[in-house]
Amino acid sequence: MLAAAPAGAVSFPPNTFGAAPTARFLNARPPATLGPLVVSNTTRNGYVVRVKPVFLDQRLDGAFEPRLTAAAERSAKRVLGLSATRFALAAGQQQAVQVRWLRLPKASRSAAMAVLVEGRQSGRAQGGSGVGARAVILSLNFLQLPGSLRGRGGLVALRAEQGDKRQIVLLSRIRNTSRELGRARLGRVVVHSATGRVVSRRRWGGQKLSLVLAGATVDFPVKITMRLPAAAIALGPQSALAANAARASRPSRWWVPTSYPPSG
Amino acid sequence: MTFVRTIATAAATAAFAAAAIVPAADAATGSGGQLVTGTVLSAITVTPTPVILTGMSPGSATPASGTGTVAVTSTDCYTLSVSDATNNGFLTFGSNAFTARLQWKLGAGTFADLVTASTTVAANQPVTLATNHSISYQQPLAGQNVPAGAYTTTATFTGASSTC
Repeated sequence: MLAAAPAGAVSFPPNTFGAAPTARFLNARPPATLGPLVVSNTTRNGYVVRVKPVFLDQRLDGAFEPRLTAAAERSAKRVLGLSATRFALAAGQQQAVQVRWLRLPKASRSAAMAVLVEGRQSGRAQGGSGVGARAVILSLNFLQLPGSLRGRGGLVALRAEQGDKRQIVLLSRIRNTSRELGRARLGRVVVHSATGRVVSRRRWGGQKLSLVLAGATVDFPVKITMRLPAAAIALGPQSALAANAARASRPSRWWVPTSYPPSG
Repeated sequence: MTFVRTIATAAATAAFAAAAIVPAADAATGSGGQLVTGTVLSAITVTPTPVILTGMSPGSATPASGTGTVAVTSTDCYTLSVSDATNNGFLTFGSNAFTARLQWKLGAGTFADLVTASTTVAANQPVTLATNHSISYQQPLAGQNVPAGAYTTTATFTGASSTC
């Protein structure tokens, strides 16, 4: 059930602090207007909100995180302009922040940015020793010039690890070796038995957020829950896989012997 | 013995959809049908609760502890992370601070130090109307010699869309 909101406002669930939209993709030439970012507080407490543009980095598990060095934050302000950077939100209030794409970083045709929204409950009395809570939301903005930009890179490794009980996770490691954004797509993992019979065939990538930022490396997981023939795990040499990284933009095939983990 | 073969085209074509929202196609039909369109706006909420630690007895062999929740709603798959950029995980009171870091864990997981660097709490979680992530904290007290006071730090929970 959604909280009542004034006409034209975005509805958010009750008792939450949030922002909309979660992510957007702009294919245009700056300067351009991205439309408003709406910050909402449907809790019973007031919030003090700080908003700032940030560049994005990416962890191995694919999670995006803000680059919070002083230099990066200064540069980010030159790429994205915001109509407000600090405001208070009383209980049940919303605030729209206009976001404008000003320019791209030098010599870049794309940029992975976010608007970082930080919310802290205002005037909350602390009853004793404890842990305060601060909420941060990244509203992602992937900006690129029109045209057929193509990130470059490819599969550099495949490894297997134990997931939950009776689950093996096959991780396809993708490295973007270019200076531009890229999206992993057309990934396939095929599990064969020793006799060559196909045991499992799974696809991965191609989703809206199957992104690999410029220079980043991301593991894309495929979870196999079916029973595989028992044997010891034997992974192929990672260096041999990594050596194939140069074979970008072509389908690549590697064989990694593995098996169902003993603890499964 | 089984073998895994993986095939992937290059990481990456950067073929993003234009950001403009295209209106639904013309609703008129020959039979007088009426197209009903509802657009779900993308939104994410992250609402952590402050936690009071109990059992703060200096020198105790039993850590002080407390549990709270981080409620998340999201129209995209998401990843939740935690960090403490202010105190690097050390509870402080004025100029006094513990020398052992506060530790946290998700649900029945294992405790890890709260640090400045962002650490994944839950990666690539599915779209959710309401998920309460239960976060437990413990503060080791053995060998901690600190003056009386209300010691605090702030855990920052970051939510962002991610692949599923």
